[in-house]
Amino acid sequence: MHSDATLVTGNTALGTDALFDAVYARLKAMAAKELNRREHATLDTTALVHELYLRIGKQPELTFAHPAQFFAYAARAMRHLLADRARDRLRLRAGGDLARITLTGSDMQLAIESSEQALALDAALERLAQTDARAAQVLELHYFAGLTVKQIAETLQLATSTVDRDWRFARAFLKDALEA
Amino acid sequence: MPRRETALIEQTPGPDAMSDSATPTLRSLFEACTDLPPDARAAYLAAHCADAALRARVERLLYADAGEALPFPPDAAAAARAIGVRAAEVDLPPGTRIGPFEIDRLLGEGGSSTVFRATRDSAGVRQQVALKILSRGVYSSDSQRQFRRERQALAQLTHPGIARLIEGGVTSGGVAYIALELVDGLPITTYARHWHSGLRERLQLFVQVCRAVEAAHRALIVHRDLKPSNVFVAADGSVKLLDFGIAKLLETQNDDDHTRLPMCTPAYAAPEQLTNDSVTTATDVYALGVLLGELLTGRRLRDAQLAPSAQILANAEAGVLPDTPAATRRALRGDLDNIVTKAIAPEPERRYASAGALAEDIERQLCGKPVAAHPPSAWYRTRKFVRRHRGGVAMTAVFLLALVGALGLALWQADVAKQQARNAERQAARANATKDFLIRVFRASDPRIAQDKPRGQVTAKELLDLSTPAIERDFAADPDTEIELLGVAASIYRELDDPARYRALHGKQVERARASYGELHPSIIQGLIDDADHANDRNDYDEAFALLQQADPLIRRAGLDRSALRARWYLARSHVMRKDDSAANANDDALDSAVKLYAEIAPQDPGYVSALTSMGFRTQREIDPVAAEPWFRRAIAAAEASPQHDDARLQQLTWPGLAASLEYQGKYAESEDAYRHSAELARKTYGEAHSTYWVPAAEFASLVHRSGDRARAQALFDALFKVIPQPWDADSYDDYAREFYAACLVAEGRAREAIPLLEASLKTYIAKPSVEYELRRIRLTLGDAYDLAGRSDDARTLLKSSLDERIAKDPPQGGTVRVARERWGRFLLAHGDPAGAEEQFRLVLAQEQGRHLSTFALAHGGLASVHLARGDMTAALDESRRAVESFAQVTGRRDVRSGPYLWLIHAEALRRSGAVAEARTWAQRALDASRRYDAPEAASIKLAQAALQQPAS
Repeated sequence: MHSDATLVTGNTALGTDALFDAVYARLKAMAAKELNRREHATLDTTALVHELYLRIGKQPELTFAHPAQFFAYAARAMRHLLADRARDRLRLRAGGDLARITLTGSDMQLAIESSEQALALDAALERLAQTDARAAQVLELHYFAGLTVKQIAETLQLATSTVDRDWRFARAFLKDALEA
Repeated sequence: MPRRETALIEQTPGPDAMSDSATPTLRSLFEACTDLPPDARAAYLAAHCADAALRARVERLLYADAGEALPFPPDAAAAARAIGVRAAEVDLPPGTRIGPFEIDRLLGEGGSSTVFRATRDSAGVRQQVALKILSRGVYSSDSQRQFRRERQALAQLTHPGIARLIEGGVTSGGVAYIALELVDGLPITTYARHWHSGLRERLQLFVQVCRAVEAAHRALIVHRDLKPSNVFVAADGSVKLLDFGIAKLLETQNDDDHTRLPMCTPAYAAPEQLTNDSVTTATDVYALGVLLGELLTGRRLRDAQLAPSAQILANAEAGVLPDTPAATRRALRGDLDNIVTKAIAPEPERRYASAGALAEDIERQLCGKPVAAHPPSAWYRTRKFVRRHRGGVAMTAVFLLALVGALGLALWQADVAKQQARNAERQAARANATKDFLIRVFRASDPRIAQDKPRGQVTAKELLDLSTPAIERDFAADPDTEIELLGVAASIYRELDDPARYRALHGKQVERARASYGELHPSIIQGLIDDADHANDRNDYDEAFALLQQADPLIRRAGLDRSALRARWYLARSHVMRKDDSAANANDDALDSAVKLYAEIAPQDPGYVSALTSMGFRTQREIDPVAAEPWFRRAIAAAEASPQHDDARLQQLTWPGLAASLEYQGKYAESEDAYRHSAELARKTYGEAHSTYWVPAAEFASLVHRSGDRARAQALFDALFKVIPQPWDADSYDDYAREFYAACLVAEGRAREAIPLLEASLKTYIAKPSVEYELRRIRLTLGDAYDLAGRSDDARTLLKSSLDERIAKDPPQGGTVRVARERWGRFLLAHGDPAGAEEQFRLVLAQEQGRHLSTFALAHGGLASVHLARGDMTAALDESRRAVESFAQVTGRRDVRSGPYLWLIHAEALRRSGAVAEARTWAQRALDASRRYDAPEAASIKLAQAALQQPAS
């Protein structure tokens, strides 16, 4: 899952980046805290990312050259998080005791399907990135970081129409990939 | 399609290359088509795209584009929800087996794991643990191996301050679990807040934490996640760290393609932990610093630029701060501020090098307190040793220990004095003199030096005789030490029952103290209070009062009003039982003051334990036995925290007090444990042959009997009587054992056997002063026995007088009156006065207030019998049902034998109401129970049998 894709705005490879690790870790911790707080907690992506931005902003040792870098990181972190969750869920299915006891039939079904889907999405996104890096990024920022078209446009220094087109392509690509 | 080919097709340098059809890209084709109306697309594609595969692809994309719905959730949040709230749903229901453990219930949830209470039965031993189940599965053999390795390392870590890792494992399903010692307590900050702990107590608790951390660091294990919720304080005031090293253990569970997750709580995480995740012992020190800061200021300090004391809020909640905001600020300013600041320095190198170093600095703080925070009195410690070996046996080593202890005190004072020293030489001289003295004392018992007497035959007294002159000689230039030692020697003589020598030395001590310090030296005042204590013990309350009156102004003038000495004064004052009208209130006030002052100034003083215990008993008596429990627990905690914590004398009253409170609340199993604990403690300290052991042992055996296990109770009593010599010391008040045993005999239907024992005990009690309570108790039991043995006249006298006495002397709303009244009612009923009986039962029930105490159930049963006698079946059945139901929920002191007694009444009421089958069921139940609980010849069994043979009415 550690992608070699380079960001449009940055040069560093993710995954070997201490900065990324920190962001990812923080996000994960925050997400875990959120989700564990209530039985059916909602995970508000946008809110989380914004909160993370605020928090990280206060740490002098973590600096982003540009907000875009931050959001990109955050989105990528969120993506990893989701994939992790999905993998865990699928492993549990194979795991026996725990899963058998804890989830009822239909819940399990939904969870499994969603997990498989999430992983498929992740893989498809990977392929999209190899085809069209920027479209993948647009999608990532929207889907995982919750940015609006306008915000993405600002972040990536693009025209909104470009972002719209990117999004359309990415959407179709993914849809096709998942329904295949 | 193989990956590489796909890549070739889909590769694009950039989306803006919507360029020439030389190399049409997927994207360019797609975008071109979306600009066209649907029917024109096919034609366009045919024209611009030669590759059939590519064309097909574009068509698929266009098809996908057309559809509204997304085959995946609209955003990551929705996706996460669908996958499930937690990776592992760990709402495991009770009864689930994880490894060898069975889940009891959920205790708490964390970010990466969930904690349950679980039990394991192995070889008949029930072990309760805190079972931590990791949310993430452990699947690969590599991670399993690593998990196991780490676990083994942690399991080696044994320290009283660390919750032990008992075991861990991975189930076949990949569920990783860790079983930890189950700690019953509160997080340290909650504990401090709850008990309104003062500064000293907080610091003392904190030192415990540091020491535990230090021990783990020595074993090369770092906690990594120290925070209040991981630092527990048990009911006995001992600190336990949870989750040691677990953070690391959990981290290793991430499989390869997962990013490491630093398990840290932001507020407690050291800066380096957040950035580069390098964790060392310094990380733990940081967390300790934050914890200390929170304990002292109520806030989680991060900003090392502002002094902790300056960050105290004026509107802090009650109990959060060790004192009022202003006082706390004052207390922290200077040393404590510096300690905290150093511990939370951003750079690891600038912090304390170890948890031990931090602990030492705190301890210096604790010792450096002015003498007003009086050290545990030497005479007290010596006394304990001497008491144990009263028989005059040569116990040289023990005595030396006592002396060393006393001298240790002197050296301690020297240390304190050092801080205030102007003359370093003087201190050195004192230290030397002390050492010389010690050497001399040791020499007296050294077998290598020729002596008149064979080795080991020097008695404590002789040793003292030898040493005492040396005190005056060697410490003539050091009045402080001399005074202290003279006091020690004097008290030892007192313990050895040599009043003459005691008076002589005590007199010398007072003289020296007066000469050096005037009237106001603590040791003089101490002496007065000691004498007052002894006067109290002798019940010479007037003398005690006079002595305390003498001491009072001295304390004030010596500026010791806020000292342990004053607290001792209060405590002694609270024990003075004078026949004054205002006496009771004065005693209560004194006790309140004692508790408060001890808590603030000297929580380690043994007097604190006594004060808390007295408070427990007072609460039990006057307010509510339930409210008494925390007092006893607090007393136990204080006793454990005190250096003299193995002094069972302190706990002789406390544990039974706690047991009684627990019994009152219906927590019978816990109560039994508490009784057993008190007996065990007494046995370990005093030995079986000492009367101090017999009382709690008898209490315990009685409780066992009351719970129905007559065989076990009999065995306990038998063992006890074996070690009680006959006849025993007439000074001992401990006829309890015999009395309790007799009471058990009565309960199980052997009243005739019991009577001689009770009569003998009664005689013994009458011969002693101040046993009013015991007399009242035994008279009721004897009256009960007489009645059951058929001696009605004797029974009548005793039972009636018991009741009258209690009405006169005991609290009107208290249980003791009710017990006597109910019994009296039963007597009246059995002897032809149902109206009288009814009156008594109703008087009892007037205080019922919805409670399920044994006496009330019995009273209902009594009323049922009254109604039966009158032929009013409906009323009888109503009452008997209430009786039975009430007893089923009984709390407080009860004998299970009341059950079958009530069930038979109920059976009779049912039978005569026509419910014959149901009646038989109850009667059978009563018979089965009585067969278990009672002696084979008991009347209860016969009654039940008769009930079963009753024909339908």
